[in-house]
Amino acid sequence: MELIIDQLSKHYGRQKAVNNFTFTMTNGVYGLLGANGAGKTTLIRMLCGVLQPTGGRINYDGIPVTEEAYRAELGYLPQDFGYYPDFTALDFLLYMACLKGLPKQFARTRARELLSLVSLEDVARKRVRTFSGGMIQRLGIAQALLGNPKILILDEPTSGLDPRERVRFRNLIAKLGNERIVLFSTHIVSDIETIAGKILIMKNGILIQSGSLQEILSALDNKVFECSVDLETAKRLSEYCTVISLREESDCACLHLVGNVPPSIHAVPVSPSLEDLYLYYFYEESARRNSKMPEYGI
Amino acid sequence: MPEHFINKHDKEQIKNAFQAPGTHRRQDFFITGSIVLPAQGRLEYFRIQLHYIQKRNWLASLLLFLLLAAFLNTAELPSQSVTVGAAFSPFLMLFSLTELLRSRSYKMAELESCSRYGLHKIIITRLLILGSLHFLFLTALILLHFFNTDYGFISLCYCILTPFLISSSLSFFCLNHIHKRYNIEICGGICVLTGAVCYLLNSTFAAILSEGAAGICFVPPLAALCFLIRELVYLVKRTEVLKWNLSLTN
Repeated sequence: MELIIDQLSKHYGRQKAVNNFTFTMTNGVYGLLGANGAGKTTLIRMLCGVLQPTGGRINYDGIPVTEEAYRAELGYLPQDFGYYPDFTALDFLLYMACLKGLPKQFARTRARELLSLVSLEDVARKRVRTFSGGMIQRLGIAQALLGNPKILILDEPTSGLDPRERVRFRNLIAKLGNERIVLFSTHIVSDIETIAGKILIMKNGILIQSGSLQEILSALDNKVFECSVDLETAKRLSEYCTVISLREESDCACLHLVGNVPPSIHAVPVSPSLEDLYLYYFYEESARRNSKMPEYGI
Repeated sequence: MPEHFINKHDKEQIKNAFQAPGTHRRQDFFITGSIVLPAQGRLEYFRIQLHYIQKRNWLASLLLFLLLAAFLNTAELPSQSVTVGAAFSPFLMLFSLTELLRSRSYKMAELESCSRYGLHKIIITRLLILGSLHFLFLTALILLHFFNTDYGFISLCYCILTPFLISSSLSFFCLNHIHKRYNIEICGGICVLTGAVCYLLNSTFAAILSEGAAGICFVPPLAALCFLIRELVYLVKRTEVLKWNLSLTN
């Protein structure tokens, strides 16, 4: 099972939402990380066949994205999806099952099982319009799993879920990834850190880095520092560096920061986290300032 | 029925039928090979889609038909009944347009697009179902008037189909090319206007409806039919490419 994305691009006039994206996915959980407007949703929409690429191709075991056979293997949870207001949760799943080509009797059984899986069995007969945001999100997850998809694509699946549901959902994704390709995008770095086997980082429509957590964090080796400085120095440092956290104590401040060079001779290098990496790549203004900072200037 | 009258075995069966399956089945979701999904036939898909057409469409069409049939008996002149029937036929199209716009209105288009059949096949299915409904409605209306008025068959077809075809083609044109929030209201305006104009023309130029003039009269409905087919093809092709997504992404 291979999902091949080859030189995929989507341009809106001069703006390149996705530019020459090339990657191959096999079974496992892939986390797609990027700032707002990085091109994550555009990429996901192209992978789901709802948006026509400007260039490139997408193939799943030789089946192009435009084929019905590809869509039959696909489960998709959009970032923001609607529902017909007169539908109950069960109606919604049955309708989606019909569109996925499941026979009515089988769909009924599977819909009930999935509602139970996402803890919505008690409200199966309630109208979707009465649901909270988290319940709608869980219903969306259930519909994505209806056809037992080999490719599962989830756009911001954990947004709107409370911490307990998020943990439950993370575990569910981790299990699902054993036998299928799961791609999910999110802003929540801890979700990716916990369950993604491979992480893809997108910036301005380009895949800037991919690999396991350890692999991509190696780019930040010796670039994350902690130091304890007086308040005045801390203020000056926060103008030059990407400060991830600042904890003020009685007469000094403890800084956790990312930079190409140690900000102070007292700075101690620490092991990087995904949040550090995210800020390193997406805190552009700071990065620009950081490059102007003289080595051991303070 | 009091509880003690229910057989224990029946009670157990009813309970099982309404209960979600146990946890042992839940594990199956995580193992791809363990679930063999039965395939759905095209006919079954069509039947299920028929079920998902909103009930109000069937009811409104039936109500319109019954009103027009009732008017046939109360109208003083047969021509009055035909012109009123013709004037109201565009509204049939209006009910159906709400159905076609449903995916877009309720933001379901994206989910429907990536389903196995894709949005264009769903739209084609809905068009087929609603087209069949229109065909039955209009045929019944024409036959009803044919057996109860002095109008010839061709004249009746002309009178009743012309406003329907013109309003349909213009409504689909509006749907395809004018992307406004109030599309359905615009289409409503088109239907009212077409109905009113056709009513006036049919009342004023009743003589032109004689069979001898049919050759000339049939130019507008034929032109409207060609235009309608063109717009329908465009609508289906548009759903394949999904240009609406551009606005979502932006």
